[in-house]
Amino acid sequence: MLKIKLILIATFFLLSSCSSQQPSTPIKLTTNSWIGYSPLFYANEKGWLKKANIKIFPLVSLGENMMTFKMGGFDGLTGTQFEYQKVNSQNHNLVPAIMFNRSNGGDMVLSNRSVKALETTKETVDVYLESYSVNTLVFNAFVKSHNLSHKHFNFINKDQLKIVTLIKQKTIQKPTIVVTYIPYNLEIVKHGFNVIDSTKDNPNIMVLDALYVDKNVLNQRHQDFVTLKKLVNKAINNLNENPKEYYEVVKSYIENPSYEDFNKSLKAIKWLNDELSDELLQKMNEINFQTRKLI
Amino acid sequence: MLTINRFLSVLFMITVSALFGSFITYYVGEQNTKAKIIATNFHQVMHETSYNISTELNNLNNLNNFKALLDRKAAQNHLISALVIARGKQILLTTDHSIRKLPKHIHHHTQHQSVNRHFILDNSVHELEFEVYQQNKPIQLSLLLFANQPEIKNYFADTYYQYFVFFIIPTLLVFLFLHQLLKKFLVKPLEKLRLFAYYHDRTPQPLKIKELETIRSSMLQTFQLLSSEKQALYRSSRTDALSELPNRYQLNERLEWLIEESKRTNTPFAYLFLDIDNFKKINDTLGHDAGDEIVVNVAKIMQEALRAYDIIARVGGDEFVIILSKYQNLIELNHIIDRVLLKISQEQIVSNQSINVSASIGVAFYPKDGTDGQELMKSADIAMYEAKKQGRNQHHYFTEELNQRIQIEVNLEKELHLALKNNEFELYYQPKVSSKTKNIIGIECLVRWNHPEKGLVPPGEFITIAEQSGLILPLGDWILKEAIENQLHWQQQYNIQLPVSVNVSALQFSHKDFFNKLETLVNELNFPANFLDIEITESVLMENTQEHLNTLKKIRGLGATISLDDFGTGYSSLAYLKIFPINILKIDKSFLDDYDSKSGAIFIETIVNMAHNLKIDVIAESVETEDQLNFLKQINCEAYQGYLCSKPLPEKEFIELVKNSLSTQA
Repeated sequence: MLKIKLILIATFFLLSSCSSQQPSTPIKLTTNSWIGYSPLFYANEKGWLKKANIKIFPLVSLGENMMTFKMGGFDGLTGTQFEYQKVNSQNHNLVPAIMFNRSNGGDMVLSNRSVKALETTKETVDVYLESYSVNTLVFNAFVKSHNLSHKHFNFINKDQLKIVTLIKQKTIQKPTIVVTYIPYNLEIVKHGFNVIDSTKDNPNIMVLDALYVDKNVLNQRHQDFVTLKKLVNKAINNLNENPKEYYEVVKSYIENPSYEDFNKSLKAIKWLNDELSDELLQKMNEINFQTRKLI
Repeated sequence: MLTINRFLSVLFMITVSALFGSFITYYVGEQNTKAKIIATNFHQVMHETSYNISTELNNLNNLNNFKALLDRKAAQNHLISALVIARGKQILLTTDHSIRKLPKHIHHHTQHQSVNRHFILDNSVHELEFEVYQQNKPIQLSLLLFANQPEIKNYFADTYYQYFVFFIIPTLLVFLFLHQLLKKFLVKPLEKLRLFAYYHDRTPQPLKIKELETIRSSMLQTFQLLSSEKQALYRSSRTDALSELPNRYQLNERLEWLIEESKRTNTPFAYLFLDIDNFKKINDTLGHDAGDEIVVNVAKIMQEALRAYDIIARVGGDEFVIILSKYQNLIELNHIIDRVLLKISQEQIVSNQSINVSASIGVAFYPKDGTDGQELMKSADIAMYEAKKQGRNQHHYFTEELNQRIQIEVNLEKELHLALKNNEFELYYQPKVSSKTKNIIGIECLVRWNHPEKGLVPPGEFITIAEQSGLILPLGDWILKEAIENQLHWQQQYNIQLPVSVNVSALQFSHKDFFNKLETLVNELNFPANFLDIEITESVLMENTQEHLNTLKKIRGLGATISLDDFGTGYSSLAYLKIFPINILKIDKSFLDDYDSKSGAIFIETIVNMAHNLKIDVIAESVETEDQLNFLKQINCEAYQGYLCSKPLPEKEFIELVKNSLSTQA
């Protein structure tokens, strides 16, 4: 009888321990090719994310990223304030959790004409952009800054990878504008396009890149996101300490730029992994960018 | 308190309920998971489709370019019946042209909503709003997904049937099987053990389960021990330890039963009180051990001398009670008592000494001398003291009248024995006479006893004793033989050849050797059987009907005739006359005595007519007057017997009578 009791107790504890050791569901995040999100790519390649039970799903563009997130099954996405607000407008409850960077030239307007030429041209100007992304904000700020609102624009709505493909496929003679961001600009500038405006040059444009997470998930797994924040900081530290090594690790995620282009791209963003300045916080509040839940 | 059966049933019900509860929870969970998968699938289809359209469409007029995409999506997914793109309430593009306007109930799709089976089944149309850009202007469109409800229902139903077939039914079957196993190997054996505990005679077969079998065998051993001890106790409480005969307690018990039986059957029985003579003297001179030995010996003698169904009990030091209920008559009873006394009085070896023991017996009868045990014992005790007073080693009946009557009968029986031995019996003959011609047509043989002291004793005084003592058998044989031999002698000596009638008693007729003896006698003496007439009484017809019928048929087969004597005095049925092969019917004297009354005459005439109709001849008995004879002639009665012609006569006188009759005829 004692033996049976011992066996039953042992079985109970074994089952209990089995159930408690069951791994929790990994945090699933969608992201896209952007130098500003490269700390995530670096942490992923280093295996840190796996240890932290976080899984990322890199996609080609902001629009793809947003659409994929909206399909469901993900806990958060990286993106600009545009995607953040767009998604929230469709019955989502995302909050910014980790700041990555502020675009400092990373989002730009390219054209095969100068601004002056665009101002004077009578022709309809083709505009390639991702209409459902921050590109629209950048383009509108550009038009406003250069008083081009009276011009005739023909909008061609494509994701960035398709835009690059189209530009590469044909020689464009017509006045054309491409609204893009790093790293897609690197290929486009090789086909007769120059930067005529960017987040570095235009103070009216503020593009913030962050990780947005479902509010409930953030509350439930706050510690995991704290860990992620630490990993992001660690990756940026590694970048500062050994950029070449960092480059080698993340280049495949950002369309394989050269090391030089990579370094140039880095200058087009400003990391926001440390404490945020009051001025920035004020600006963020002005554009309804929540900061209360930021880690 | 719960029975094991109910306990197991409750246990099974709880377990089955818990299991089914788990199954149902799991089933509902799985259904909800399915619902979530379907919802996610719809969500993905709608988002992917809407994204494709929103990224590719520059002009609303080109929306038709996405018809192929929508068709493909709808065709590939069997849970979708149609996809529709609408702007406001206007349908712009549809995969199903039967859909001409939007349904009223549309579920607006959001990611954060609880999805379950009912949600999927209740919402057949799902909507996702999305934007397309016409130039830089966003246009709000809706993508509507029409779910294939029958397919979805089947999808859910599959799970239901799978659960039913693979979980519910097997579980039930397993539990039923378990229930049967437990019932067979636990419940039923326990029930058997319970019954065994109550009714010790229902010993269960060996059980399969070791612990139960241990209980069963332990119970069996205990009950067997208890039973044997109980039997021993019961026996000792009802049995005399020394003689091993029933004691007073058992005697009273059996006596009460016997009294009830006797009341019901109206049959008396004899209560005997036996006391060993001079027992005190034996005890004093030879010691108590010798006295005990004598008691044991006497008990054994009585058991050997009596029959198994006779009751023998020891009720005191040297006192015994014997109850005899099965005896034919008092003479037989007397013989039994004498046998017991004789065996007791034979020389016995006690303590290596040869001594003569005797006993005295007092006899009382139920219900005449007492109606209960106490009264019977008191009467028998008094009778026993009377026996002692009259010299010991004898028995005495409680009533003096009976004592004397039995004494007479016993003496008579002894004398009958001597009479047979000394040839004191003699046949007398009475003629049977034709009513019309007055010629002698036959003879009836009648036995008489020439007692050396009492003179001629009529049969009425000794036949009953002869029957009771069984002497009727040798006496009957003697009569039959004497009658036939005399008839043969008359034939040779006097040329007288008349049919001779011999009376056969019921006891004699019932004897298994009666016919064989008769046949042997007739054959040995070479006697013409057609001159022999056997007279029987109605009682013969009423007892052992089939056997007696066979004997009668055999007698008829031999050639002899059968007469039915004393007709009308018994309880014979008319049916007997039809069944039994009767040749002659003898009308009893009592009818003839009443012939001169109207009813008496009718009775006799009716009997005669009936007999004639049945082809049976009639002889009237005890005819004493001419008037009686004339009456008989009138009614065509063939013959008669009686003093009118002659009383029964000894051989010589009868021969003279016959000679005279023959000479008169001549």
